[in-house]
Amino acid sequence: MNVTTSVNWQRPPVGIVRVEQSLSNELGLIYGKNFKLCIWGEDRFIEYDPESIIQDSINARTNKINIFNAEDILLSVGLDWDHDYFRKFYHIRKEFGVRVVTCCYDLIPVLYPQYCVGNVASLFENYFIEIADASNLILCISKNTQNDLLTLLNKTGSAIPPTHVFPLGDNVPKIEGDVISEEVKKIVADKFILYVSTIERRKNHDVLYKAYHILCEKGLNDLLPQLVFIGMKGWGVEETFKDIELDPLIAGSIVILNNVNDSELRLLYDASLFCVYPSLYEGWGLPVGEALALGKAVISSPKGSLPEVGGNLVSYADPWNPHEWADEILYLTTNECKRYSRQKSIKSKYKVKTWSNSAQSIAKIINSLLLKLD
Amino acid sequence: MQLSHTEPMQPINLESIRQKHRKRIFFHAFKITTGMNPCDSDYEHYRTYLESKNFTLKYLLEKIGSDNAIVQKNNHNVIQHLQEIKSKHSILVLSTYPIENPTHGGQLRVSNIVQSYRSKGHKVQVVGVLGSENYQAEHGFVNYPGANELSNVINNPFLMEDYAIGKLFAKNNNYYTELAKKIEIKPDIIEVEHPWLFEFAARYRKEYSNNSKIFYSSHNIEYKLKQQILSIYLDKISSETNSNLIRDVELHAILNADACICVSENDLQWIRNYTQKRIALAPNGVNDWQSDYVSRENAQKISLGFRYALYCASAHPPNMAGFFEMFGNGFGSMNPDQKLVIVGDAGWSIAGDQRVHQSAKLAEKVVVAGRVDQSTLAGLLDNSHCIILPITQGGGTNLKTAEALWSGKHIVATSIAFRGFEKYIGQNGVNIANTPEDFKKALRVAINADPLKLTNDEIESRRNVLWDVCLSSLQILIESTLD
Repeated sequence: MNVTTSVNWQRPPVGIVRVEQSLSNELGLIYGKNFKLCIWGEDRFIEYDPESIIQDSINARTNKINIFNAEDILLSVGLDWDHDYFRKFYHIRKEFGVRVVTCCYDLIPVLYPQYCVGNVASLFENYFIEIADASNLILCISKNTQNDLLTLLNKTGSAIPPTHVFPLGDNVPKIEGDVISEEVKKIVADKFILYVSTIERRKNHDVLYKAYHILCEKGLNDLLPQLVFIGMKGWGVEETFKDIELDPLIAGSIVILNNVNDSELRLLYDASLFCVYPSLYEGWGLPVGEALALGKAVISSPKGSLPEVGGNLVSYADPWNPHEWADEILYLTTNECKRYSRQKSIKSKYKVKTWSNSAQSIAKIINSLLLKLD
Repeated sequence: MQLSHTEPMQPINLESIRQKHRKRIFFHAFKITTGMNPCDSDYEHYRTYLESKNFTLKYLLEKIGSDNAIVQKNNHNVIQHLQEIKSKHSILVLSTYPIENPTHGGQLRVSNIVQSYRSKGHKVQVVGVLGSENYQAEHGFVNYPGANELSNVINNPFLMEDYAIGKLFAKNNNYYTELAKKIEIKPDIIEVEHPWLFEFAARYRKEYSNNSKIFYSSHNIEYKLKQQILSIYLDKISSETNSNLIRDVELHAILNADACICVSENDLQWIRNYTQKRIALAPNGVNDWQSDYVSRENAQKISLGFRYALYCASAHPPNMAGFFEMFGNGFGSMNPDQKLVIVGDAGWSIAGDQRVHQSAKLAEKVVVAGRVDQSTLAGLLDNSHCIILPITQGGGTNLKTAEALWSGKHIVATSIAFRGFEKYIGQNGVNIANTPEDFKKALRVAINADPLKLTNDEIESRRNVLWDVCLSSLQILIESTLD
């Protein structure tokens, strides 16, 4: 498994980095000594030993240029498009007989380049076309992503390798010993609604701000719990931040926290009234799954893969319509019975997915790939 | 002094002289080629044999000329006389492009038509006006008159140069005379390629050559083609106005010609709406080619050793329009071991167009060969795995389709590219795709398929794309119109 992304990541693992790390841990347990890690060196893949300081030591000792054998599987699920090595996958497959398995998270840069930084549409189209030729199998994190990928590959006349949808783990760990900040303690002391997500334009914090403005305009300030945004600050949200900061109507109603640890995150989920997820488009929507895994009611946007996460256990509102969000938030805030009833339904019906489940799903498809090619 | 008494002169029996001299030429040729002295009975046999091999007397005369200078000298008058006898008809071909070094489809077509006429023994002269300053000067052609002069005919001559040239050389006495002076023969037939010089032809016939027949040689439905091109560059009103001018000129040619020639069944049906006179269907074709080690090596250098699909196209705007229509929005048809080689001026136009960079993976797949000589083209055709014809506009029939069919390679083409070649659709190796998604998928299938192997029957059926077969109707048209 290629773990270049994780090895090069300096911050706490989030998103794709977390996926790569979690899967490498679980697949290591499943495959034992048949599971090895590799990273991209300057011009080739080299074996990676987390315990070793000099990563090229194995190859230096054995003078091995190529670490692959003909029946190996190379699994790569990281931020591959940010590196040159994905261009080598085709040749690794062709020259060494390696089976290549890659991962598609979403096609947002292709479908919605306006939500991304820079001119990324062409870059990502190039990437997907290239890995389609290189891959024996492409993993997808949702059926929606699978459909988007197949649509692109068909439209461009690309190779259509087999694809497989696997679930992402949505269990939020409860970690003892982490420090809970005063700010978090203050938030959990009162009622609040939680939105966990990177704070960027696509995530649509703006519609929540507008919903709150609408409700405050109607004089319903006193009914409204605090709205808490948890996430790293991204791009395209400066104007929304300015509005939140300066709008006297909603003053104090919206709180933004950029950095919380796992314990704080778990505490915030547990203590929230309910969670919201108004994103304009998603490849999966992990925070929706996390909220449901903890038995919380969720109001979500129906865009992209989001309906696959919670199905009919979640209520939906149009991400382009702040009035709908205002209505849904007010309803769930003021109808305690309905809220408890939803939570009860979620707790009994929602099947929590663990990273072990994810790894098992991938292992199953990889094993069938091995059988097919034997 | 008394004059010696001579025999009274007998009337000259020209026909017997012709027969006698013709026999002498044949006997001499027989001796040179076989080394034996023929007798009278050999004459008929040898004459029939030569004709069955499609050797003309002209060929024999050339052979004699190269082998025996004394015979050539002695027979000069005989040869000249026989040439005049043998030359069936005189044909004047009017064109707005030179044909001695043909590169684009129109030039290739006219060049092959002229060769076809000459091979049948007709005397042919090609005259005209160079339709662009980019054409090289050629004997019989008046130089391109220049945009300033053309703007006296039409306000904005951009993309209307041919039309303006036609009007200028018909109506302006100086230009008319300049072109008329180029004509060295007394034509039985004036064949006008495209409708542009038809008015000149009509005026010339009226003034100098009353008995000539005028053939309108149509290459496509001009006004529709022009409308498609103009709509890319001009506003709707301008493009409609100009294409109506083209239509008028085109219909004038059809209505007033003594016979028409066209390139496809579709065009024939359209022309038939306007005239009941004879129409000959003479599709575009291709000449056979042979590649050798050198030409294949040159081709290999261009393709860099990759398996490739080949696109041969001039810089005619519809060629680029079709290319980008089919390959825009991402190009995933080829794996990293495959390339798309473009031959002809279309290559540089495509490479310089920003759209090639806007479509993912397209720029890195394109290899521009540019213009190549015939030998290298033969090598590129024979080394290719597949030939593409992403033609989405334009009328007439595509010479490159004939070339693709004769190549024996996989073909991925639109229905428009196969206009005039419909009977080949469904044949082994012919893949028709009319949408970008289908075209790209079909290309992926073709480029990854095994090399195409045609059966002998399939090869034979494609012989109809060769020029000599395609143009066989022209001789019939001449005989039926003049006889």
